[in-house]
Amino acid sequence: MNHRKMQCLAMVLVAALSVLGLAQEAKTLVVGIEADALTLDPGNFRHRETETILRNMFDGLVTRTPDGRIVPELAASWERLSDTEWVFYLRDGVTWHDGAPFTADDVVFTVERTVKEGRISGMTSPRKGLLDPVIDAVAMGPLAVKLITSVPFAALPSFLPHTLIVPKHYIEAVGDERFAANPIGTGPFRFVRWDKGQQVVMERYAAYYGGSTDIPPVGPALVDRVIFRVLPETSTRIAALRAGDIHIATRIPVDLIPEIEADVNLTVMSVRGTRSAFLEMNVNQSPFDDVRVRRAISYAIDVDLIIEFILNGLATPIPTIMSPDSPFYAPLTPYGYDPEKAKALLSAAGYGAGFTVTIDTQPHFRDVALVIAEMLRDVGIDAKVQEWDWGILQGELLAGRRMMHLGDWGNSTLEPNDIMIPKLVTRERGNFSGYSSRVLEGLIDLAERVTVDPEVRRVAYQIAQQVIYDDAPMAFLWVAQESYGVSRKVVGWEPSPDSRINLHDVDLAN
Amino acid sequence: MISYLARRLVQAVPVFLGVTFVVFLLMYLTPGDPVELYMGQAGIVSQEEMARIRHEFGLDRPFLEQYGRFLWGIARGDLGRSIVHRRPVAELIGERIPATLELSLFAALIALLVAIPAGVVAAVRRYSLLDNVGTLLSLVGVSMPGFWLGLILIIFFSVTMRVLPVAGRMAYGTGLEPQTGFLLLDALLQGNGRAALDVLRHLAMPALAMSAGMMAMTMRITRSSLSETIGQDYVRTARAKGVPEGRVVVRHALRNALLPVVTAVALNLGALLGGNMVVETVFAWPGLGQRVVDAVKTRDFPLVQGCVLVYALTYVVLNLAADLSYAFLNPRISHGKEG
Repeated sequence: MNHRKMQCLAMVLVAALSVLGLAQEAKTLVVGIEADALTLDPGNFRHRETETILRNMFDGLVTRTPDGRIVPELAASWERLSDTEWVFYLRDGVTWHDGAPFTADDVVFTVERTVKEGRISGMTSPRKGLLDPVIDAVAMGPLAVKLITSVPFAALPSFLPHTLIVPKHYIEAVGDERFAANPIGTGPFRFVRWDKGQQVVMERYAAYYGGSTDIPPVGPALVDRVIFRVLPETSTRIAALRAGDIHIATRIPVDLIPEIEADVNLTVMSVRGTRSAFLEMNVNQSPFDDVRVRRAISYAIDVDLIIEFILNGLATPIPTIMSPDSPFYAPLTPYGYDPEKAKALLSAAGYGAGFTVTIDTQPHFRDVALVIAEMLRDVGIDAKVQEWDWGILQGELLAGRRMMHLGDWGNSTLEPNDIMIPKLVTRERGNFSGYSSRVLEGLIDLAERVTVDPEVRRVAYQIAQQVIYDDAPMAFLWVAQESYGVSRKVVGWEPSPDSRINLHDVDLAN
Repeated sequence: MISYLARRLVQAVPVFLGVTFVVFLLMYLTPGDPVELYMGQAGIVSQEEMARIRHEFGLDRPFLEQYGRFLWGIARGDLGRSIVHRRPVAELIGERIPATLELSLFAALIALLVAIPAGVVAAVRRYSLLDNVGTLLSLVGVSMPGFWLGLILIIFFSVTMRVLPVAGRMAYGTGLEPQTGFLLLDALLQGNGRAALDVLRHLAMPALAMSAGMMAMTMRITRSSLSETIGQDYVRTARAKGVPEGRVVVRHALRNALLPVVTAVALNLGALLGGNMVVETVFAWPGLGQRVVDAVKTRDFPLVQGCVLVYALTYVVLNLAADLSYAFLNPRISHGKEG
């Protein structure tokens, strides 16, 4: 073969390869996500990415707007009959992807499948806890359903966006296992195929009822097809975005943002997330059993400096554990950076000569931990950093064997109980500081189990935050922003604080 | 021969038992509660709920009872149910094996097709320019991390040249319906040329990234083994008898020189078949490597156990295959016959 022939062959080959690569039809939106769905059954997982994917095929009674308000979705409205009874009035004319009408029976079925034992292939839904005080549901006609809670549970609507409604008729016909592999929902996109570990493909459901009237535009989805492509490695996700293989890339770390911004076809979109970061101290052992030492730690950390230089400004300082986006947020003034005050407090507590401590953390917090250790050294504390595998560290922390932990905790409902209980109530599963306050627990109990009066609850949680602030079992740091790499072709999408990616209203420009 | 095979298979049983017991014990002793990890660092979960899940998966039972139940399950062909995925372990492993096999076999094929001829050339023309270049390249191949090589390939072929897809096993829209899970085979069986080409385009970069190490090592071993064999008396005799040089190298020397190569390739293939977690992650290749690493991280005991069982089986089979191939390569070795 001569040189010319070789050249021709090479060109034909390249052309053939390129055409094949571009052969996908128009209006297919591709999202690069870091993990595959664990299942396509909305009742059988605890996993953020699974929920992100399923949210586009299934709707809930209510949903959350990008700015965090709870608004009706499959429900048209709701009212509280008594402290423990709620009625949800459902939208008329909603259909499942097989055309069958959506009714109150589906809601009852979903609630019972979630909260009653042994309802999914003989096992109990791992999402039971997300609806916890709900004990039963009763249909009150085809388009009304009553939810019954065991205690007054004023925060119910905030927890409901996480319960997606599933089809009674379909699951009863095909069984749980087949449903999980080939689901139908009431959402804007219907399921097409799941290549496990690779992609979930869905197409626009033309008969979609339109979604929440509070989140315009209302109507069927704008794109024809959506693919969630699994790309676990961040560098690969960014490469796929730059190569035009995907339109939205999730979880972009701060240090890789410039790489995306350098590409004229791409942009970075950030939103304040719902994870509160903190430095927890073991309040049951010296020196952190002395509140003066704990406050000294708060004064010793220059939170603003870390946000500016390590997090590129993409975080908001918090005075206690609540995010500023929560309706219950108490606008207290953070302790602030004051190393002299820190030293004075340490001296007063008898630690003027300092002490030795190890900051335990996970690899993704290493840079922050190293800077905090440096800041603690400035006030005389000999701080080291140790990185751990989370499985091991979690056990150590729960056993009270560690002194200081840098980490964060998610609060996607933005409800105080959802983060105060696991992090600050005696012997709860995320209470790594070993903190225990009867006052705080009494206030949470008042707000969650005794009253549904909004004003009483608001005041209870304001006081609760003051208690946490004064006791300082943690040095509270920030709520970080979450960043996405987005193609400039994507129109009408904004990232959501709870990290869900709703594609109903999104379009692609040519 | 058959009695030799039967003996080897019987010998494998205690190996399996030993491996499963040690791994079961290690996982049991490793700190980290699968249910705590499953619930993640967010939200409220009551102690009762976690206790119920532990009970559902039998994690609240004594060690020996858990191990006994596991063995009894295997005897009935049941590997249990994953804590994280809440699906049968056999299904979770089964759906990953074709991807890993397809990639490993491709990587091995590329490696051997390049490495053995290169090794032969290097051995025959020792200390020539070709030999030196080959040695240098193989050093690069051995020392280059798969992760880095993978990213370089992606940046060149996908981002800059835009000729290959960044990651994954197949594009959507080629009409391919996976049946066996071996996508190339599926595409060919369905007579879908477009899908076959698409699968090959997806395979190219990960297979190359994965083959680098094996290629380099095989080339080194072929070179050194053949260099040694070529100096043997019987090779000199063959040459003295007037056998052509090419025939001397391939028939007389190479065949004997391949014994250590086969051993090394079998062991290497074992490692490849375990799934290369790094390459799989970079190329979003849904293989066994990613699955087992995730399972260990989340302390998904039943899934880890299942994967380990598959690994043990793979190594036993590959070692057996290597031993059997010795007889083919070297007539002086025979199995099952009295020497």
